[in-house]
Amino acid sequence: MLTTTQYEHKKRQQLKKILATVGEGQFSHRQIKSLESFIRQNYRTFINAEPVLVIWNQVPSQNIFHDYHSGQPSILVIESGKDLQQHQRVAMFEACTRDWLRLTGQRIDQLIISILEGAVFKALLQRNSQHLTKRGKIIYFFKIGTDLLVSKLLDDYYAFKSSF
Amino acid sequence: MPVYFILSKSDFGSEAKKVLAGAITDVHCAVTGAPSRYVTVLFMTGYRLLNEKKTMLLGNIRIDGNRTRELVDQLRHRLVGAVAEKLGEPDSAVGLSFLGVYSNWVWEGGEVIPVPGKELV
Repeated sequence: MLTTTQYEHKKRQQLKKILATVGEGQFSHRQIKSLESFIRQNYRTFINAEPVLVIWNQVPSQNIFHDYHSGQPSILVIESGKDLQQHQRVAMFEACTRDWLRLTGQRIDQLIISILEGAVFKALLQRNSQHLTKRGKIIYFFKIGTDLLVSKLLDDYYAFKSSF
Repeated sequence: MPVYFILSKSDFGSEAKKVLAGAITDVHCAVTGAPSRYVTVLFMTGYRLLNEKKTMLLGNIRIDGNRTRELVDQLRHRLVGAVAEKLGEPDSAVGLSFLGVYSNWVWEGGEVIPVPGKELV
């Protein structure tokens, strides 16, 4: 028998996630909230009607290079189930691209989207912490956890800074 | 795709990051034949790495098409060597882990990315 807290923790773990990596300060809070709203809507339409958790990874723009140049590409990584059909994936790609470019003014070559099956997505999320010392893991989880909590309270979306 | 996440404890500085990003892009393109427009490199700092590594490369790469185990091994070997050389460290100071992704899972430049070996260079 699960307690309420255990149930909620399990539910959060099972929730499908989307990791959006963007330049720190590149978009306004309003833009991020609008983007999140469109991503959720597209996810419901093309992938799954279940709720999805969107997490924003904010990277200092001088830390991102694309095709040799410092720049600000945005990277969306979306978790899906195993049975997702390619036509659903393409419809999601197209809808997200249309909305993203309209809301951000980015060029089409500045947006990378991938839709990964659950196991691959989880491996991606867990990877950063796997190569850390014990102390490094404590700092990492504390920092990310605090960022997520603070941003949810202040800005009403989950965001963290992956450089600290 | 590929996207390389470079973890380190402290910031390398803007010039070194440019050099490292260039070296990673050079090696990836030379070994795999992929065009450089697909290569993204992100630096992330504040990470206390195991085994006293100076840096850890986490690469998301395509694993279908012409990507054989030998080619991926060669990519691993050359990336570690190139980054270690640029940092002035032994190869053992650089770690690397790949995550394989199918091409049809990725969208870039407004299209599903071609399988490795079928790109227009």
